[in-house]
Amino acid sequence: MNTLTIRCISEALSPITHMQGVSGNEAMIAREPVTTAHGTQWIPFLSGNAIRHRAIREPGVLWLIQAYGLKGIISLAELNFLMHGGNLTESNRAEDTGRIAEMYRTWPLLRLLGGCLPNQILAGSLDVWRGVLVCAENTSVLCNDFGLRDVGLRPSEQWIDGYQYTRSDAKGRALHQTADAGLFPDKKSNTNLMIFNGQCVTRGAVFAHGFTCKAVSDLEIGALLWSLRLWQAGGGTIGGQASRGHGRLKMTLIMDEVLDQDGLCRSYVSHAMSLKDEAVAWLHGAFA
Amino acid sequence: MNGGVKVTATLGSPVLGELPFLDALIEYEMAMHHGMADKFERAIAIPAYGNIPSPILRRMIGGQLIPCCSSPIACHADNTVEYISKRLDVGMADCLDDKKRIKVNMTGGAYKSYHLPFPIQSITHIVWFAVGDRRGIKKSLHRMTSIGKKRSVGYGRVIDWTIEAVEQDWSWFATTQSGIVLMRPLPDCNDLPQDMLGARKDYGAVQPPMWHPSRYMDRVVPC
Repeated sequence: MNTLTIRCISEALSPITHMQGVSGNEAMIAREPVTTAHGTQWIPFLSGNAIRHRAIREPGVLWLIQAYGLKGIISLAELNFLMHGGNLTESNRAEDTGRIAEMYRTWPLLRLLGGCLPNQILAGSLDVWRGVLVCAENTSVLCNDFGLRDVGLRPSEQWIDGYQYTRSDAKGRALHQTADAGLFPDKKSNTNLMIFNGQCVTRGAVFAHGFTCKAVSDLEIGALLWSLRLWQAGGGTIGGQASRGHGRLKMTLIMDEVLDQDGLCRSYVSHAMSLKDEAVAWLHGAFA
Repeated sequence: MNGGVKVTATLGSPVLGELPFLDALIEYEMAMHHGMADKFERAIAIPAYGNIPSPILRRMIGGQLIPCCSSPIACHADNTVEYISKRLDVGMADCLDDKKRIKVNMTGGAYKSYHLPFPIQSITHIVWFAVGDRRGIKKSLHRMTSIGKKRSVGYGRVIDWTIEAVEQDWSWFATTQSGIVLMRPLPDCNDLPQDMLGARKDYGAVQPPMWHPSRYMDRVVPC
């Protein structure tokens, strides 16, 4: 058991649209206030919640569902526990330590992420950092935490751009029947294309983020690294509009200590597959 | 050896919720070390204060044992609101057992979606003044990588802890030209200085765990 810090540098391979709301009809990118020598600036960031779900829980759990053949046989409560961490829905003053120990043994990924059984909250051991945009305003955090030298970074506004798409309402446009080729839009009717747009962080921007794994075993580190690899192999997207190609990140890990990443991943996969029946039995038993 | 210390936390991300008390942070860390953490519940009365060993000195005032540590001091905070959301991923419906594919209420119950606002404070440094064992404080803080709420998703990440020796004891009161300024919540009692500034009466805790109703009493707090 040890505490491990993993730092990451992720480069945007496509526009990042990790949004926080709309202003008028424009989608606004998520920003956080950063105190600088020139006052408070609002700088784009990636939330730890989004990274935790998209980069670790979702790919890690989807792999387990597939590897354990759980597709089509689990209940909603089990799916909610695996994909979203579950909910406390019952009251119980007793702590079932045997059930917790068995979960830690059979599901290292859930030991890492934590979760909530119907009557028991289980703390995780992973802290996911927020993604800090590598820009002039964040220089002090980047220098202190990532060992970056102050090399004159570009201001954040140079990394922010916009996107614009159109969509049409098929019902809003008159159609006419042709004799030979079916229905076609009436060319005389007005187009009903509707513009939708928003802000984005441009391709080439870099985010610095990381993970703190507190008192973890090699299996949990393996689960983390394996999930990150699955996420990257699946496109490594974050934020919205992934279906339009947005949000792709190419991540590079920076380790404080030398780790045999391939070996850790292999150990985790081997462990997970060897305990398949016990893990499935535990899941069904916990939500019986 | 006990002496005045100034503890500074350099932060790498905003803090969610109220800024924590250093004595509470250290006592939680020490309770973890001694297997006493997470034993307290709101509904159960807790033992008298002082059982958990702490490198921060404690003194009596108004009949209560109080840690010699100031409230958190932040130089400048940009307060704002961030949202944490959850929505059941219905795209995974094909994973469900055929017989368990039910209509789910998303506006209430166990699977209710949420978009919760959380107040956050974007600050770069928090400072506490304390009296205690400098090495013991440093050792306790060494393992603390984040503070505040929702630490698992990156809030309140501590980049560095700085512990400096200071000559003055500013843990409870700071002496200024205008008078004595209150530095932390203390029991509302006759032992308080008569010319105390920057204080108002309140009802709440003066010892950790600050959230537990068993600790509530009449108190004075800095303002």
